[in-house]
Amino acid sequence: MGINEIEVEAASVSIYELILKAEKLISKKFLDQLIDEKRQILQGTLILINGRNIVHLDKINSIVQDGDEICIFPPGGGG
Amino acid sequence: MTRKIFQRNIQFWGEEKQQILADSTILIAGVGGLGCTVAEILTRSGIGKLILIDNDEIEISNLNRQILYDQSDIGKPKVEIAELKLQAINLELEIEILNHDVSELKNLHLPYFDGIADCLDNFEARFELEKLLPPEHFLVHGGVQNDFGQITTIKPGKTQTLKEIFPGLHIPVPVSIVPQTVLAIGSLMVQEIINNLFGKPKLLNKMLILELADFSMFKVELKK
Repeated sequence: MGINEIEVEAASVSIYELILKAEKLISKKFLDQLIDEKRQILQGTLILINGRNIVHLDKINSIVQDGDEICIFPPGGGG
Repeated sequence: MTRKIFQRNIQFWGEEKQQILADSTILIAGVGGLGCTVAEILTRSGIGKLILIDNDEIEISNLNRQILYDQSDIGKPKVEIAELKLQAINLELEIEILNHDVSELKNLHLPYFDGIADCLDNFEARFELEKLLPPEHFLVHGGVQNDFGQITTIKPGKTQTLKEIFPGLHIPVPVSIVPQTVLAIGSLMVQEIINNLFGKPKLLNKMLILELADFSMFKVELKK
């Protein structure tokens, strides 16, 4: 995405809503690179909330609190 | 002769740490891009023994990043050529080769090892590999793609498993990859393997993410 770190003001919003806020903040759309039209996380995408994969939480509807650290990156699969 | 090979290492980290490496065994799962890099650097670092696992043969398309192989090796088993090349660097290095797929390992009696270097090329195989990790042992995971990659240390009961960090992840193979990414991530993996052998891992419950395009490197916290 070419963005290393941004701070987004939000509390008790879903990760989905947080990403929409982040898109506005950086004037760049990237949600469609992370989820499909059914809001399923695309293969090859890793989203962590405080070091925990959102697959173990409520997926794209996982709630983010003030101070949470979100990490989004495509893990390298090759060796 | 062997002492002279490692003279500059000893000058940096001292006799005691060089001896720790000489007494250590690392199992390298996958002798492709990362596996070749990790094996060669560990050999030049003075590791005592390597166990190499891979059942592939060398293909022409491997030569962009698999640094132990050349054109004359095409069609030959990777583990056999890797053994020859590594032995030529250090005659005293002990090497054991297992020409097997990772899925077959659970049926074999594995020799002793201190830690595993996960140099595999798909997550399904990595999830099988980590099941082989005995308590108190470590696995250093590396993954590469395009111009980015990641590294973390896995320890049973002390960190999340790879399957917890990357649940259900399936990345179609073969992935696109350039040599500088493989050598950079492979080098960083060796640093963390040595950190583990010296008893001071730096990527326990942390993941290092490297992006070569803009030289950015992050450490992300992973929750146990």
